[in-house]
Amino acid sequence: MISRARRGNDAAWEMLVRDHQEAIFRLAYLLLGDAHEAEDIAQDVFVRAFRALDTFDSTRPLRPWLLRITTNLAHNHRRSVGRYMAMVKRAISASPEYSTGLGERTSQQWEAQTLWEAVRRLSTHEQEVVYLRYFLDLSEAEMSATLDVPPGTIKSRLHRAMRRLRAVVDEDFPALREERLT
Amino acid sequence: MSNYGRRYQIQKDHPPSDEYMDRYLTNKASALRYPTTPDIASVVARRLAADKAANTYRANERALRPRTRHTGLAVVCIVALALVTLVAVPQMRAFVGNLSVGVWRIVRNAPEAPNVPGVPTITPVYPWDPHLGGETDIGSAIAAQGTGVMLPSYPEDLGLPDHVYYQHDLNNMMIFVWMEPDQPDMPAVALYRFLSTTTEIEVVAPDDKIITQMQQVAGNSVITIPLKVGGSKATWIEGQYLFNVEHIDDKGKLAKQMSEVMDGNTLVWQPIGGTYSFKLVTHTTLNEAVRMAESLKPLSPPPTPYPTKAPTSPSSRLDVSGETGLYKLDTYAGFKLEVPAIVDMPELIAPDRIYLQSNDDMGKTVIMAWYTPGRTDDLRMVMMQGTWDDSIDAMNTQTTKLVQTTTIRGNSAEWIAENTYSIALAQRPSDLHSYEAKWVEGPQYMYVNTPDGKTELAARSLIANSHTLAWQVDGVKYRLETDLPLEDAIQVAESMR
Repeated sequence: MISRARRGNDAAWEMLVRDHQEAIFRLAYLLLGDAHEAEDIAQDVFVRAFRALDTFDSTRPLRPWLLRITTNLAHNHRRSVGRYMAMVKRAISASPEYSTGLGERTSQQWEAQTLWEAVRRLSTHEQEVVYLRYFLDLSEAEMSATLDVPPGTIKSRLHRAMRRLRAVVDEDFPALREERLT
Repeated sequence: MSNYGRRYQIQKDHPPSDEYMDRYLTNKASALRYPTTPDIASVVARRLAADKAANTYRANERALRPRTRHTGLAVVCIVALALVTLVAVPQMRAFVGNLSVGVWRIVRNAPEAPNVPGVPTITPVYPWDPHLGGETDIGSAIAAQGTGVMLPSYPEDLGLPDHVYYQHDLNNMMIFVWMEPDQPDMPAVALYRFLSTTTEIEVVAPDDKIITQMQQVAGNSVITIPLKVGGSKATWIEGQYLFNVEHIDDKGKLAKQMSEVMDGNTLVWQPIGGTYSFKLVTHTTLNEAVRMAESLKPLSPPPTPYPTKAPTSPSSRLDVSGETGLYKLDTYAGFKLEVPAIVDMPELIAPDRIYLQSNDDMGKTVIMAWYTPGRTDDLRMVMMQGTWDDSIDAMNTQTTKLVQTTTIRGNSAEWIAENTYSIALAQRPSDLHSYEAKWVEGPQYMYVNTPDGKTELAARSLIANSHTLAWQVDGVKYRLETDLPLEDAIQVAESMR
């Protein structure tokens, strides 16, 4: 399918997009915290990837490559001025379509949401490893391919991220440790 | 109470271990609710299609050609435009939502997409793989397959395919592709022919499950309609799917496989008692596809030889250098090569001799020659195509002598028709799809004016008692020498593909 897409076969690429769009959209959403921006980024990821297919090593799996483009685009996007303006614009005309249904959340969902808020206090690199490992359930090998670093670096980044996360929870998310506080 | 907190309570002042955190995060992260993933694939497809359309438009603009192959193309474009306009009107969208027209296919049940200014919400026709293996030419295909080559004779102006593939490894599968006349990268029709006895056809979804009728594929509905073509069982398929052809060997093992992602309307049928099955991918309606399927005619030399002309003129001989073959000749010539494509005259499709010549004055010239069937000493027709430096506009209608001027090795030269019957017949302007052509009755001779004031015979018509039809399209000159009457010569010229 990849080789067909590489030869300009749009339909083959569309099928691949359908296979991977959920993971890409979710990672972008985790990194940016905004569904509209995540959708824009996810579209850009697939358009850019299609144009750059010639540079892709087809002996390797596609998903880590797409995830890497996602982290790069999200990183650039976070630093752009246009993003701030777009957020302001959307805040004025907020659409309910991406509501996650706060009122219907179970306690597990609340805990997951709070955990995500804690993770977002980490550095970008630390967030990336946590999202890939725990939220998208990637193996260390896939993470290594996605972030283009050796597996040993993944281990050490995860260890550091965990240590930082514990500190963040201790300091700013007491609700996650309510038993200790009571 | 959270598990994290409970663990803290147990461990008191000891923070949870990495292992515990690992399990905790794995468990908790999976409970996060994400917004529903939007239909990114469709938007990406539209963006890529818009890119492609923009590129095609730019390319077309650069190489704008007034000539069209199908006389009905203008009508198709108008209908397509009208439909796009209709689709823009919400009330009409539901009505026309299932139509497919010409080059563009209007997406069925397309979700409302964020509008990119100036980009219509359309997708190109089914994908085209320009790197299919086994590309050959129609002449070689006939030579290899004999009577096995069949092509649609409807619509009448379809002509010969632009691409022919002979996939020997897939048990002699043949693929014929006709491109849109104004979009050389865009296929209009593809016809597959494969052996019925050793192939199995499956329509396979991306998850490798065999599709049954009406099954959804990646959000697009695939509709299969059983029907009959010429009394044979056939199936009409609409929607995106993978087309799989598997060749099973004598031991029942999978020997070869070919997969194509298809997004065109497809008609698959197996003629009763026929050796081959066929698959037609197009964007016409079902009725049109059935008409095309039922119009298939064998494209092979006729079983009885044509009556030969006798006596053979000794001047009907070839003494031309640079003999070559048709395959990839376009590349070497530097312009798009064309051959006569008259379905009822298949013997004209593959020239008997092909030559490629190149020199400073004449540029690249391709000479094709056809013999009278069964007579290798009797030339029937010669076609020259090239970018030589002359102009049919220079034809002089004031004299029976001077017909055409050109340059040979830096010297002026003239094509002279010495045996013309009358000036009216000799240089009758003709009309080839609105392109001016000149008909010169009687053989011609080319004389070169040398620097010392002499005039030397440099060339002559290759066929004795021949006439010449000359025309020019987009900088490529055509010169047809034949002993056919004018009407037949025009038919040959207008069939050039």
